[in-house]
Amino acid sequence: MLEAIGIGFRRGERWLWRDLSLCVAAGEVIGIIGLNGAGKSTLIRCLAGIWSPVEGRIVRPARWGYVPQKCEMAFDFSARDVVSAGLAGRKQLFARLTRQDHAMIAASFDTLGIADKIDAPFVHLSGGEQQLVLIARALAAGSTHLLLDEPLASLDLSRQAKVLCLLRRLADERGMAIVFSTHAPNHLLAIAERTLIIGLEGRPEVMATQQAITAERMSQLYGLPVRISESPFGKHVLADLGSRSMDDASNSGVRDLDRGVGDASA
Amino acid sequence: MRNRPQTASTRLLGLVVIAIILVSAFLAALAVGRVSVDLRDVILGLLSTGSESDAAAIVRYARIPRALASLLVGACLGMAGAVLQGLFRNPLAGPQTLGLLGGAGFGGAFAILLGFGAVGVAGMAFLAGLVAIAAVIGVARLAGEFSVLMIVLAGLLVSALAGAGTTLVQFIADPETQLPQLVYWLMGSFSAVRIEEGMALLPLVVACGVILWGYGLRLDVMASGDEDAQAIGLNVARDRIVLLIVVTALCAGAVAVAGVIGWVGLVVPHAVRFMLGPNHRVLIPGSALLGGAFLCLVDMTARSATVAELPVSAITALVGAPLFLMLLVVHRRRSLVGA
Repeated sequence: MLEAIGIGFRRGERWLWRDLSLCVAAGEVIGIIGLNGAGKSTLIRCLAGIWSPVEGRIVRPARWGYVPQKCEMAFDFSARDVVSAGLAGRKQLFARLTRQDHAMIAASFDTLGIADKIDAPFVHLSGGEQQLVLIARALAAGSTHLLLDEPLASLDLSRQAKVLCLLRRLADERGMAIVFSTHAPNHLLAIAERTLIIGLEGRPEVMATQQAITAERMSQLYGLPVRISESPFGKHVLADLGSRSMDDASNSGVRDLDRGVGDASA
Repeated sequence: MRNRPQTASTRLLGLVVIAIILVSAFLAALAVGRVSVDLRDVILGLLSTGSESDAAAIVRYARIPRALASLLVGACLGMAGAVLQGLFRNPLAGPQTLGLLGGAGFGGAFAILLGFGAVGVAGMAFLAGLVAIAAVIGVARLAGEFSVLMIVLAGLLVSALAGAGTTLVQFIADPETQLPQLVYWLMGSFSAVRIEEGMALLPLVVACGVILWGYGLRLDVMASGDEDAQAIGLNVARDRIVLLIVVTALCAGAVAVAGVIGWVGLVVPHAVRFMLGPNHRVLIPGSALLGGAFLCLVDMTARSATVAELPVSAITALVGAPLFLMLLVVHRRRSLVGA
């Protein structure tokens, strides 16, 4: 189980967030949303053990995987090499990869549907494929928890849907605990049981997504007129993005807050 | 550089091919010189213990020590370059570009000035090399950026300072007794190397090679960034210090035996990466083998190309500089493509 207890992080004199507690259990998906600079990536990095919170403590599971927003590989490693290297954290210094390790690596590519990319140079893959390879790395390393920093940021609509389905499937079928950050409330409505909103007044609190993503909260967070719409695809967050001035929303059409799902629900 | 799919068996085959190149280079270095020696005398020189022909004696007492020393120095520099490039995620990194050789050269020159023996020269080269690499990291961090450009610029700065220090040592050195030895050593040469000095590198190469091979998987992770490596559970700061100490020991050993020889540590790892891919558990032994073969052939050329012996570092620069230029162009193109 991954648990953060009363953690806080400060940049200079400014606290990004304080007194934040979060506990993610097996099979659960938690989403994090907030404005740019609110500290979403910082929180994911703290949970992943890259940075330490200024206050509070984090209890981590034995094995967890971190998927950064962008991975700049210095050399032309193959996707297989990238996933193999992910085992370094749980291998002794002079240990070699066993047959079982190689089987797990191949299986993780199969699970993510990218078996045909296993020997492709990582740097030649698209952003979405690179994300999948990094998720495969976490799977091959036997991670029980997955921490993803804006995994959908650079993906087109169809790949966003694929990755969201995949994350839900990993939680449901493999019992993985997943925490991911996003700028799109609709991503949270699609797969997250619980949501953490960073940047609202008061103590940041994890709550059920249906309770967290309300028109009032989203309007407050973004400073935009926002409404929640029901469609055959489920609930969607719609916001006024088209007005020339945010003070004059009356002359504009209401558009989807989420770039991608807006097109789908049109 | 473009990579091709590499399987474990093709990588192993590639290592075997490089090992064959190494053995061929070693035998060629024994046979070729101002006096040509045929294969029979080469074998006699390698095997015999007592009465032997003049040619076999040349092989045994003149060429074997040089060939072995050049082979081991090349292995040191090749491995050091491979690790530095992985550690700094920087294809332009090498013992020379990071100021490590310059620092070690200054330390060694200072030890010669003080009249120290081989162990003292190696020790001072090691200490000065450590200071140089720490200074490079410090300068790059001070500039707030750990980028390819900053690392190379910091290396340039530290190299310039070390070069100034070495010039001062030469200025102070006794022109009759110390200066000629100092200048010749700084140019890089195996002419005065004795078999014991060369062989003293063997345990260093083996021990450091084993340690670096062990770190191979971790170096693969570090190539995707410190954050990634930390998130996987590695202690990046500790691993980096261990690796830098090992690399500095290799460079100090090489400098103590043969002086300052540039370019090997920069270009050899790229050649191996091009042939066998960037996986460090293959790259490190591959760079040791190819570095050894390369320097063995360079030394053979240095002592046999002209009547007077050429400085080894001049030949490595003649070969390395065009390759380095090619590397810069390829790197620039890749950056533009990626932008």
